[in-house]
Amino acid sequence: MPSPDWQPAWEPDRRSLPAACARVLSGTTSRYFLGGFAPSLFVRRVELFDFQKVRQESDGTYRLQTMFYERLRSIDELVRAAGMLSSTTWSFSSGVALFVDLCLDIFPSIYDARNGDVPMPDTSESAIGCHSVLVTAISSDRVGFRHAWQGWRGYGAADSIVQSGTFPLEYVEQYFREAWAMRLTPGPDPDSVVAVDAGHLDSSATPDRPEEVNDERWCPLGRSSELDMIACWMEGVGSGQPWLQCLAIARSPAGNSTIVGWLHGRIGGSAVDIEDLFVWPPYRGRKIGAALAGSALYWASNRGYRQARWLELEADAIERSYSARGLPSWLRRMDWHESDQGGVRSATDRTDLVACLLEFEEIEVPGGLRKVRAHVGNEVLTGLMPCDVPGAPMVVLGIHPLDYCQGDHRLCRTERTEVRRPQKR
Amino acid sequence: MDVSTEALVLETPNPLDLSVDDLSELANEIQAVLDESNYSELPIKVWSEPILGAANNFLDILYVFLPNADFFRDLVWAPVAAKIVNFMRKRFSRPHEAARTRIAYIYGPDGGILSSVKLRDEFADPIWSASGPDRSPPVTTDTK
Repeated sequence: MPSPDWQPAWEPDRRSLPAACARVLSGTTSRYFLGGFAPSLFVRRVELFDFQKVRQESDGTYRLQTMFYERLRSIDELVRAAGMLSSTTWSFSSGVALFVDLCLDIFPSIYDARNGDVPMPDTSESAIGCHSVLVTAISSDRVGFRHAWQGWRGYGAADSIVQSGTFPLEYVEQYFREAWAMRLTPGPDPDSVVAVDAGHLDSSATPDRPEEVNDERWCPLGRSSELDMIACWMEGVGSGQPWLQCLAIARSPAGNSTIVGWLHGRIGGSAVDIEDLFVWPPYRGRKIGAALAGSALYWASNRGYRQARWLELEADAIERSYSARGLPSWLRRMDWHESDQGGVRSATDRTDLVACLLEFEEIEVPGGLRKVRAHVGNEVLTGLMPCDVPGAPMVVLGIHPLDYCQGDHRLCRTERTEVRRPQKR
Repeated sequence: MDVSTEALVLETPNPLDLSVDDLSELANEIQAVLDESNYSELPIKVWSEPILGAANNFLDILYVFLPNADFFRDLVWAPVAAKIVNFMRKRFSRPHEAARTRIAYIYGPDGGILSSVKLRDEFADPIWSASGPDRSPPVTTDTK
């Protein structure tokens, strides 16, 4: 948790935020924003931070304007999410808006696409890079989109900045790079049409299982003198699987609370895939990420999810390459592995997360966490579990070769703990 | 080293579209002009930023950083500008690109906009303007 005297080192100026954010995050200029739609994880992070509005009422209730982004892993998920755009049965909360971004390779034949209908490229063409569009509709054979290509001969007025067109579904299947579904929840902006009550920080509101609650109701995860952590379950628009969204909110003495970190986890079977864990750069180094992850994993572990996997997207590698010094030390120490999932890098349960645990030891979460290490053959398994729940499921954080510690026995000298049936301390 | 204070820099925002090889041809043509002027010792550098993200543009864009503001007012600028416009005009003949607007932004060494020139089609007159977005000059030690 942040220390009692913790204060943000830098308060954002929202008027200049997008450009400043781009520089903070990537070391690059703001041209990603000027260039129109640009997907990728780091832009989503900037958008979330920029879009947020947080107000805490006198009774402790948070009123939130925030967003949730969901990486669509496959064409099937893209199709499902795009179908939601016109769905009349999707039960979003009032005022929630859904957007689907698609990034794919493009070829010169897009330049003179007749009436905006992009053809399949012929064999003589070479890709001219990735392009990002906003998906507007989908049919059995084409995907409708909008993009900021003034002068392009798509649907729409010739002089309009925003032009519309379609890709063949076959094109999208073949040249798909990445896609994101985002939902925006309007909040306490005085100019906003709809204000959404984000719920009270009342533990009785905590849902036990994601299938029980799908109304995006926020529940408490933890609290310190400066920080509140809240979470809610959501239904993924791509897969229909539950997602866990956790937010770390820094309370400000002036009443201007700020979402300074978040975790997005996707439930698959008994595992939580941590798709994103992020702390806004100026707020790093205060163990907010560790507190957020620990609290979220504790909450998930208490509800039957026995494993957590960490996924890293290409954007993280970009960000790391440009601002390595800005990342939390425990994140830098992780051992990243390239996967074969289209640019996704994954740190799975066989990845080096031990170093991360050393910092988890220092945090406090509701009910308490304890770190577990167990020898499994020639490997050391590490995980997190609650202190006060006998036989509780464990969140597996890593399995490492026994010689991983290289003489640092803090990593491996601990008691031999039963993996399946751990003993209560 | 900020080379734009010591060189004329040609930068492509997308080397998959406007390639470094294409820009090298333009650099050779401009070099021939400079050889006949007081700027015969001025190096011409071709530059491309790493491609990050996905913000492909319909417009065909070229960035030109001049070594100093005086260059823009010198007699040598007119033939250099003509080479740039001619280079942009030839690109209309590429497959699928007959209707693609071309823009070149001309910057001073500090990235302040000096001018821009637009071509709407292969036979159109160039449209010059004094406005455009400022841009950080490239930082490179590469030399053509």
